[in-house]
Amino acid sequence: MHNCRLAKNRLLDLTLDEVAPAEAKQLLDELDDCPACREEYATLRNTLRVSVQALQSALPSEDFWPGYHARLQVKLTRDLPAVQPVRLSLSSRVWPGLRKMATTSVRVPVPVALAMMLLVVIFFFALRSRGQANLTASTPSAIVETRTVEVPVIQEKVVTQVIYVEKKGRRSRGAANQLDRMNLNAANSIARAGSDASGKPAMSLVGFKPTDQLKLTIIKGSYQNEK
Amino acid sequence: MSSEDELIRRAQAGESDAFCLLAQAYERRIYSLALHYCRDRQDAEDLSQEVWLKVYAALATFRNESTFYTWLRKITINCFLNHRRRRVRSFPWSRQTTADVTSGDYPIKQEGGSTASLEIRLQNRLVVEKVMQALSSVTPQQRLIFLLKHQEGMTYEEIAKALDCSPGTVKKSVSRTIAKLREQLGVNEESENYISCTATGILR
Repeated sequence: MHNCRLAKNRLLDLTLDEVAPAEAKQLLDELDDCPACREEYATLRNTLRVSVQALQSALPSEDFWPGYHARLQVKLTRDLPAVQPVRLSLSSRVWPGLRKMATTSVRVPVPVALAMMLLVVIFFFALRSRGQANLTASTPSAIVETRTVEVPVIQEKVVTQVIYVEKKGRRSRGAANQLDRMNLNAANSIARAGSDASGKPAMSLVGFKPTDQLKLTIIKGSYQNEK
Repeated sequence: MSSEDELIRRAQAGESDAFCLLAQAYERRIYSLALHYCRDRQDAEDLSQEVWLKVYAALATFRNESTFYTWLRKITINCFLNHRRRRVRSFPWSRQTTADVTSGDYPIKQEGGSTASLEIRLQNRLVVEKVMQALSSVTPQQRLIFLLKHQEGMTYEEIAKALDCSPGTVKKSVSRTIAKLREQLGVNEESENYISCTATGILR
């Protein structure tokens, strides 16, 4: 749909060749149907054409230029020695070149870029696998040797059992013998209980019946506790 | 290596003769630009010579990153802008009028000596004066932008970059200058060849 106001905004750009070809064609097609816009466009074009013609016709004639060039040459010959040309240092000459090289972009088609990336990836993996193969070849094969080493474990358990028994003569021989046997049996049962499967000495004195006074001392510990 | 590259290389090495030859290749374009910018022959000559001295001083910095003329035009634009600032500082009360344009100092191409050609010349001068009056009524920057667009064929983007402004500013500037030209010239859609029309007395 043609809009005169919008079209007139673009007519100057069209006159000055600042419009893309597709849009220019569309605008020109619109002008065919709108006399007002067509007139505006023609006026703009003619104004510019006249201005350019006037500027061109205002240029000096051919006989002006030899004299101008002679004067310019005299001026340059006279003044150039006084003009100190800008001398660039080595770094200021090298640095822009390096910067340009580092920032220069090259247009590469997408398929070519993908192929190059693929090549780089393949090369990387090939290099890596080759490095691993070299590493395997250069390392001597490990010899597995199984050897049983006996490590001394100090487990020392001292069980001291002191049993006080009644002196002979204070009772009858028969009764004493019977009591001794009973005590001996009790001590044996304690000793058996002390060397049970858990290895811990028995802490109870079940079944032990002292006659008058009985003192049982159980010392447990290792050599580290000895002084 | 082209002859221009060879001349540049020799000029960079300090050969003033090579530089004079290099200047000869572009002196007309620079002078024309300066003439339309200053609208005075003597000012244009001084300004264009100043441009060439600046170009010589800066020649060592040219590194073939662009064409020689693009580089030269950049120096020219900077020189024009500095010239404008100097003029404003020296004569802050003065604003260039069309007096220097209408005084007959502005050169017009000679078309011959017959009566008809004399008439053409007079009519052409009239049109040129109108164009110059229009260009005088805009600011120096607007005038420079118009010249860079129409005489140098630069794009909005290139002009914006050269003058350190936005493309929108450039477009607005060109639009204003063209509006002034339309106002001065009174060109309509039927004026296909205005300069030729003036020869037949159609000038309004």
